[in-house]
Amino acid sequence: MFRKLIAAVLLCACFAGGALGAEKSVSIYIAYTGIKPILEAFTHDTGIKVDYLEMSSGEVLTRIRAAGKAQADAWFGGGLDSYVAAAAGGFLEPYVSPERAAYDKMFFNAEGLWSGISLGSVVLMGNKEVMAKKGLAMPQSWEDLAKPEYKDEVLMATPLVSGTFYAMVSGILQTLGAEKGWKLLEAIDANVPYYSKRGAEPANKVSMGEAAVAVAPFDTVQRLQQEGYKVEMTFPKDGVPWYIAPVAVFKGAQNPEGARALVDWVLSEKGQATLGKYNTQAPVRPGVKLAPAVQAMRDSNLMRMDVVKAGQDREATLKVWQEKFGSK
Amino acid sequence: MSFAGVEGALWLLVAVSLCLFIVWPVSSVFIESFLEDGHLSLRAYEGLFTKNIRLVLDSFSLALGVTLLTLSLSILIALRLTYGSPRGRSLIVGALALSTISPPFLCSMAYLMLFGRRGLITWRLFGIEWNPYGFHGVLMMEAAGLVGLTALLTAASLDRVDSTLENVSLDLGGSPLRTLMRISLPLALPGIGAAALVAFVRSLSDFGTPLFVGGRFQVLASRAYNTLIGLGDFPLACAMNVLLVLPALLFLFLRSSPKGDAALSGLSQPRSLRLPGWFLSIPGFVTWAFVAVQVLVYGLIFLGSVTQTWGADFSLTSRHLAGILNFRTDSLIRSLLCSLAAALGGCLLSAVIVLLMPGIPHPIRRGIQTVADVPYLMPGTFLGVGYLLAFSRLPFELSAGFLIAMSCLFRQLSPSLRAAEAGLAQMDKSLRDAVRDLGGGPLSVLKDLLLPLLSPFLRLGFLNAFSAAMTTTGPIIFLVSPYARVASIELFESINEGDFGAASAMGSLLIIIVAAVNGLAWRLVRDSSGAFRAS
Repeated sequence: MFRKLIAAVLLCACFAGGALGAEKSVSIYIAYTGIKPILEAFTHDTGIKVDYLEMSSGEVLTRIRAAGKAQADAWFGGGLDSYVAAAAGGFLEPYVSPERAAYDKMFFNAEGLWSGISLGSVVLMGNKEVMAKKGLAMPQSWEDLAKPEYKDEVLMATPLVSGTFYAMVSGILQTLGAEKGWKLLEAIDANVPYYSKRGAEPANKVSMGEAAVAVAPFDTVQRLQQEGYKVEMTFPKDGVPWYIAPVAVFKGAQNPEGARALVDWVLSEKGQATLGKYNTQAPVRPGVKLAPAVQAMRDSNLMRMDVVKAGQDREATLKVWQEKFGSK
Repeated sequence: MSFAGVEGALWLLVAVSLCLFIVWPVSSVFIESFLEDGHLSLRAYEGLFTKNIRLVLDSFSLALGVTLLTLSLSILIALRLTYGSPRGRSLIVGALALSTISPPFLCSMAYLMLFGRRGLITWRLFGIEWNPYGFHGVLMMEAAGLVGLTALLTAASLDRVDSTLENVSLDLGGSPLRTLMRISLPLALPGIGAAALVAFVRSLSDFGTPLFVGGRFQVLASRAYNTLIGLGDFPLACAMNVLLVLPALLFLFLRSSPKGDAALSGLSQPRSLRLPGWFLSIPGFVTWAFVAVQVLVYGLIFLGSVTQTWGADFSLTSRHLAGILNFRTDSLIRSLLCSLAAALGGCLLSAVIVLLMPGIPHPIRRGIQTVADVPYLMPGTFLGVGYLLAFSRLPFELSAGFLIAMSCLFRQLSPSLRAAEAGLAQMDKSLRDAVRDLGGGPLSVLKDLLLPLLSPFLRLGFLNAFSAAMTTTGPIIFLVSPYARVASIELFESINEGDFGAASAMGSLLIIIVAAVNGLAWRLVRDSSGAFRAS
């Protein structure tokens, strides 16, 4: 009896706990590093409180499809392909922020369904200790990565789940053309023991030493280095693939004004400077001062690629990819 | 209320809750596999079986392998606990209980850091560079995670074997080993069978381990997860679940029950069965090796929580723990409340079901068990999707905390129920009749007989359900909201960010809370069963 009573009390407490959070604030799904101080700055500047949940964009997309609606007001960071899919499913609310006038058009959806906020890139990361023990040199290019000495020492994630790795595949195909591009990818594939099924894994496993080299997002490498891991990084000489992190307002938002205020703020000069301060992607607003490491990334030889075209080609490219490498 | 009236009300409770929280969400997932943009379509089923035959075979052979490995280890450890020297027994039980608390991905990471390709012990200490990625890696890691629960279950069953029966065998001239093989182990079969089923089902539904150490080796559960999250192909992903769940259910429905028609004690008596020393050294060695590995793994997690950056900067720090205690207490408290509700509710519900079981025909009994197995059998993510599909269609919004608690309760109902049934199978049925004959209603059978006598088994159910609820990510990743965060999801985020310090700090706190709550429950139950014995 006593136990039943406890159970009943706890169930009530759970109900109450859920109801407590109902005060007016913006709720956000997030896939963006360094987010905590960024949102604190937002609350400080606008007086709007936030509740957020970090979640990969593939999971967000699955979630809103299953529920038939987004259970949040705004979406911040993550893979552009998920935003494009969500827009196609009618889950995003168009909003053309007045701040957009200052930006290059290539970073936006014309109808205002999503807006690019920062640029990230894909680099090579090596574990110094493992490299030294195995007598390997740090690869300097995608061509290097295809050399036989790196056999079984290269980790990357499958582009099916990871926007970062899709950017790499798409970038290589766009710059080299289909024939040479797939040939290079096949040569790299020979060194990859298996494709990780989660995007964050290659960099994490290489920082633990499970393999020598990872293909990794630039900002992840920066963070691992700040944490103190003994990893080194190169910008591939034959071109650095890149992608943009977007922001969007969900259709049916409980607090649409708050969500739009978030978009305005993050595109504003102040918001962009804040992103630059706490995150190591490069804010895309012209004239924002970048940290030296981030400036170096922005100045590296970014590939000539079209992110919108990458999004359009995604399905066809992944189909070929799956036929070639899907069983890994 | 009359006896039949109370029983009727309890039936109604069981039926309604199973339909609402299992049948509805699960069938929503299955229905989704027939829908293509809102229209009926069989596209997902075209060539489903022929295309995925390899995955089906791999999934079931892995589950079988895991079951065999887990069971052999469990029986050895249970032998050590029951017949070995009492010295070190509490340490072993502690290590087993600890190993049932496995924070998501953190334990897998700790195993890799110790025994991986560049592991601290395998590579640095012994210079072995082996490849853990593949069938064998998944097999070992899943078994390591399961042995704690199954060994405790087996030991509880072995402990309940009436020692007078062992004595009879010994007095009639049976050798100790013969007595063990022909009397003790067969009498403990309900527990061993339950342990085997838990391991089998758990391995089938696990997608995290194959994703993490499977490398090229993938199973239905992990492929379905990637089909859903990566490709966003709802119908195909849901159809793959059907492919996983149906054969498993058929197997579970048709299996024969372990015979449990004898034996009761309830009162543990001193054992006079002495196994030969040379024989006991085998279980002894296996047990201590297991304990040593657990000490290393959990030691690494605890050390990681107070180290700046494991592997790079080993100076001590409190920043990881302080970060959580300053900013994440609400997540911890929500986790605690939801998990307590889930674990207590699960124990109570299994006790009620077990109470009702004896009076009903076998097929219905088996049907209820099978329904309870489904949420445990499905990869957790899909149960979460099912909850989302079902409950977001309601005209009113249910609180996230409530849904999280319910999903954990019903996901872990199967092991709780199996443990309770194993206890019941070893209990003398005349006791129940005695309570009834003395005028006790179903509630007094439940309160005065079942709860105290089943307490070691219910306690295992509680331990399992509570720690599973505290550490699960699969089913709840789709139920948490920006307003309602829980600790395990925070931990999962830290792992994804490669922040081993923050992850192990959250993991350590989770382990401490689960251990403390279980210690408390242990004492409460001991007091109440003590009261039973005295009365």
